[in-house]
Amino acid sequence: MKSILETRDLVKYYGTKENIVKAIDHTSIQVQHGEFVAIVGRSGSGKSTLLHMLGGLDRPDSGEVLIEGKNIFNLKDEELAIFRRRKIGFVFQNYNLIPSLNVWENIVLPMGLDGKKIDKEYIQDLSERIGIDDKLKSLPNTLSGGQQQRVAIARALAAQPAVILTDEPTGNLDSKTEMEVITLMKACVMEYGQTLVMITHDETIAQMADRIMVIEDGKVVDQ
Amino acid sequence: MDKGRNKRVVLTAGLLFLMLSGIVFLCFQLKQDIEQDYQEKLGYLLSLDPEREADYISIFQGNTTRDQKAAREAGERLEEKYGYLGTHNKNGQMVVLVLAAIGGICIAGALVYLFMYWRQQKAIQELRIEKFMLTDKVSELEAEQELLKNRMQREETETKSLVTDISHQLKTPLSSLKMCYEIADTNSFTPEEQRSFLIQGQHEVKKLENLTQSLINLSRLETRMIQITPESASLKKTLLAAVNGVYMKAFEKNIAISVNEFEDDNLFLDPRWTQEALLNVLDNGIKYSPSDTSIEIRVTPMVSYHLIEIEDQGVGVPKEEMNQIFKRFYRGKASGIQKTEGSGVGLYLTRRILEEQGGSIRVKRGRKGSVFLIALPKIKSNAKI
Repeated sequence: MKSILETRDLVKYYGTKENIVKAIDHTSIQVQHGEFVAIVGRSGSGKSTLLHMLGGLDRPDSGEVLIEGKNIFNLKDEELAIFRRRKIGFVFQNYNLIPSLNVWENIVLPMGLDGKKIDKEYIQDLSERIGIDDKLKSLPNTLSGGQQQRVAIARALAAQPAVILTDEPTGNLDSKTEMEVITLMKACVMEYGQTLVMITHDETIAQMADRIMVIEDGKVVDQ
Repeated sequence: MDKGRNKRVVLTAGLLFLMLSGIVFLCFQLKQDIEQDYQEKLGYLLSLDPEREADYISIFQGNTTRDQKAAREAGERLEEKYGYLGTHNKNGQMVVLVLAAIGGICIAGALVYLFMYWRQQKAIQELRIEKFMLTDKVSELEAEQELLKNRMQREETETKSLVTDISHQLKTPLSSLKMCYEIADTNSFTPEEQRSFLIQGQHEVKKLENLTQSLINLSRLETRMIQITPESASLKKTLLAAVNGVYMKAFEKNIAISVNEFEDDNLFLDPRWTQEALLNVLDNGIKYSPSDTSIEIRVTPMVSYHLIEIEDQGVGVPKEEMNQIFKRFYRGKASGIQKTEGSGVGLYLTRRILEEQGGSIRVKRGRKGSVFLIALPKIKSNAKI
């Protein structure tokens, strides 16, 4: 079966000789279309490095990352940028919203970069679904952490990407909001037939995924 | 595309032709002006001094015997004295004009060319990106096709294995039932013995009945036959029905069930299946808790969901099993759990029901036992799922 997301013998080392850190050590993983995969590991296990390479944000020392069977590091820089905006949505721990833009502008920003026509109706529906439709005119710093993360999720989903990559999305949230945010992501991803890869150190969140992978010292083991 | 290109070619050629003919015209004009000027000046000089006709003509023709250098110096001296300037000269002005015209035309031509080159490059770039997007779209469609094919294949193998499993499961009780009847039918046994075989046969029938019931549930799950029909339903009533469903079991073990005060809300969900999902969690809590304990239910309204926490004081779920307990047929490793009757379907079914409705469930360690956290979406009844 063809995977939507795949790595082949991925390697990324930092430092040299005795100081070498094997962030990713010959890792081959496969994620199927429509799956919700959690990658669990302690801090420093290389999980963020892996996510960055899955999203084409960082180049590996060797090995391949394939999205829909296409090796993303064979693409030219501008092609990779377009591919990334069309195929991948990111949600980070610290939301990464632009403070001077309001919620609506933050959500449509990546599409504006792509010169894509903005589907206003879809984004209106999405923001209602996510519960931020009354906050569209607000600036990010007037919102709570949970609300800011909702905005980040809306931004990631706005372009209807095939894959959502998230790095500790609830790291800054209390446990009830955490449950809400992950349920929201899971439900949206299921509804729109997307694939979700979540990086976390917290195994109790990981249990909400369809499949759990454990990363230790740069090596990934399926559970 | 092609038409526009032809138009551009014609336009460029026309412009070039116009420029060239302009230059040629100016040059021709210049040549005529210079000739006229020379004629006029020669005429003046001759009318002033007709005797030196031959000298003037030879000077104008350029074959002079005089010292060229001395002549230029004399000319320069005169220029200094009388302020004779090249700019007053009609020919000089004409030359400057022609040069400026040629320069201007060249610069304009270069600019036009650069602009067209830039436009072309941009168009090429856009085409490249368009091609990239189209090929991407094609591969996306191919992937979709592949996905459908795979899903069909998977469903086929699943159905096959399900049929095999069911036939195997039915085979054993059926053959023993058949044996019971055969034995009861022969005359080589006493009436008491025949009766006991009939009773045994009845047991087998009962077993078969139970088995088919669980097989029906199983096949419903596996073939996505669970029909979830959402409707507007009261959260309080749904929860109450689930609690009522386990009330007798809790009473037998003297387990108190408490629910916090909360404001009721109308949710858009399937009340029957949701009740089943909640009931499974409560049933598990009672099953794996010792007598004389309690189960606490807390309902908290959140932004998009109602959070239901169900906390028991039971055996708890070990950390390494937390992500396993929602898997099909998974049963806890601890001996206390292995001894208790169960099929490992309850929590799997619960998770499926909740997720199918846009909700979720997870477990974490409680103060004594475990806490199950359930999120039910607050969708307004007019919204579609």
